[in-house]
Amino acid sequence: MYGDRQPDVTEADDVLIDAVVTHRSERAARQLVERHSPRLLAVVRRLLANDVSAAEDVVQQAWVNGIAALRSFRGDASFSTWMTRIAVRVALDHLRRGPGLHDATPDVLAAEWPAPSHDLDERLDLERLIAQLPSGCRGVLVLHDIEGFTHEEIGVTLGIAAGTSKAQLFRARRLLRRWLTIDTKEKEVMP
Amino acid sequence: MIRDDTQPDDELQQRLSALGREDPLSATFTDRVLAELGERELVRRPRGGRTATRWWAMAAAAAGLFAAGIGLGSTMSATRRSPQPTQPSSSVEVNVPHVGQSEVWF
Repeated sequence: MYGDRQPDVTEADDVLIDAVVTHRSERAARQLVERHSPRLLAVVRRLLANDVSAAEDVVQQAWVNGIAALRSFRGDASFSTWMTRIAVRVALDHLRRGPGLHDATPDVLAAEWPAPSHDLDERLDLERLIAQLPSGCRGVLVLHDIEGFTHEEIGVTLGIAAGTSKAQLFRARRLLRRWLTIDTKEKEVMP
Repeated sequence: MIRDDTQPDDELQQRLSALGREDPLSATFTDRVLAELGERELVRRPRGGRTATRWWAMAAAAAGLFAAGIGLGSTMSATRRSPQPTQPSSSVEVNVPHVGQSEVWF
């Protein structure tokens, strides 16, 4: 029985998933958590504007939701993608309880969004710039340009239309370019 | 030149690609997740070392009590079975009639 032996660290996800579903194997669950949490934390941390502590809480809740729903995992997407979707939904719930993912109205022009008021070194840090984006377009940028989701997948995950996803991505890129241009110009005038 | 914001420019794409895809786990993160999964009975918690030690201590104590019980029982049984030496009567002998005898004589 799987629960009686130590799983190999190279064991495939489907073997570990079967062990958790069939035997509620703690060892197999540990392997899955250790294997996939680093990526989940990176995605969620970016969605939550670099709030590491909140990101850990969100990913922990995502694992609870994911393991509870593991029987429904059909393998249509990879387990990593499946868990990422769950983690993103939990992160959205977290944001809705806070300032809100859609706090910035979509029709605000990128030019009207103020540039982050950090010193030059901080603004050169792209992570910090991403964290300064309005949460709606930040989520789309993270999922599309960093995680490689399609607009259709983003639409399903975030509960928005694919067209809205494209518009948010346009806005996020425009803001980032503007801020990066400001950074570059300020760098040029620096002694 | 007007930029096409629907496509990432090379510089931005390059910088986004250079971002790390994984964050390091804190020392306690995995244990925290597993503890919650265990509390919700989504996974079976393995018997920990401390729990196993406690179990063995209880088993040893139970075995000790059992052995002590057997020893005490044996002692009591032996005491009950051992014949009591009769004190010789100095003056009167009483004869208890055997089965079939009807008389008692002195």
